Amino acid sequence: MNYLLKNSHRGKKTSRQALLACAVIIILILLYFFAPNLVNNALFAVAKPIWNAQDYVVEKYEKIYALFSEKQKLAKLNANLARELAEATTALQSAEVYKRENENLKSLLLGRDSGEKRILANIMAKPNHSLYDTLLLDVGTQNDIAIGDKVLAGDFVLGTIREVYGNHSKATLLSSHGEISRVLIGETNISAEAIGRGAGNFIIKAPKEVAVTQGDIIRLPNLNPKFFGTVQDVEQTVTSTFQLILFRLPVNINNLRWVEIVKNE
Amino acid sequence: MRRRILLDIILILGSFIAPPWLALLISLVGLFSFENFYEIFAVGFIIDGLYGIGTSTLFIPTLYTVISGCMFIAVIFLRKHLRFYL
Repeated sequence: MNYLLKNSHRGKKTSRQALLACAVIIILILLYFFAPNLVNNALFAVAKPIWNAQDYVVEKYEKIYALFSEKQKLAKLNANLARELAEATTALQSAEVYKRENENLKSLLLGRDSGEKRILANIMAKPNHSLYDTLLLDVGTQNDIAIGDKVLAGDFVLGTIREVYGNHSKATLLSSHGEISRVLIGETNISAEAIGRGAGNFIIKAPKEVAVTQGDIIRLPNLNPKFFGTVQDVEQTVTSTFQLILFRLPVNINNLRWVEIVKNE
Repeated sequence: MRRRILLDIILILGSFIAPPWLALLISLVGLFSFENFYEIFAVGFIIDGLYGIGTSTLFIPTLYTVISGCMFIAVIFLRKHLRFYL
């Protein structure tokens, strides 16, 4: 325990420490801006074995824990089944849209090949309460990844690749605060701008005349249907001419271990 | 000295594994416990280097480095006005 002396003259020392702190911050920021590759590659090289060890320990712990608690096991099984059911429901919704779209397109685009190439990537680090809302993936330029490529979970778009390094890359979630994406709403195919609100949530401001109901699918305006999410709620007020469409990703980002990357069309 | 090394190890591992807010919270303990706890800058720098994106729309890409710097300076001045600390 340190006691502050009544007549201590620590003013000069404090100022010197503060100045030194400012200098360190400036040096680190300059290093980050002028040598981003060096910083990222060095940190990733250190982080990779730590994250691998963490995964190993978590997996082992889960196995041991499951042996001792039957209730927990059942609860986990229940949670898994609930998750699978939710995934199946969303997959069914996607399949329904696919079916209708396929019928429409067949007559127009017969013989046209989408040529979509998907690359599987392991999520090394998730947003995990970080303010940045980024995913760290274990694929980079060595795997033909480029800036602008889309990150998918099934047919749902999660984010966009923003930085690519030799053996890893960083993707920003489309639901990050302030991210704006062009989307099509439901069956009406009305184009609108979806604004990210963090943690997989989005908001669209559209005129009241646009017919939207809960469960409608929001998708990207591409040839191959890529989905954004399903409408959760529609907020309307009597006085406003606009309505707020609230929707979110049907997949829980924190439960994901793998994603797919599709080349930017 | 041994306590500081132990906290440093926890802190560096924490900045890779734990949520960033938790790593900064542990750093705060270090700031009050030890003189010139410059390790906090390493924590901010690691978090920014791992998760930060240069083209971030809302936040500056070195947000955690700046936060750790502010914490360091704030604690320096706070210590002057505390009767006792760890």
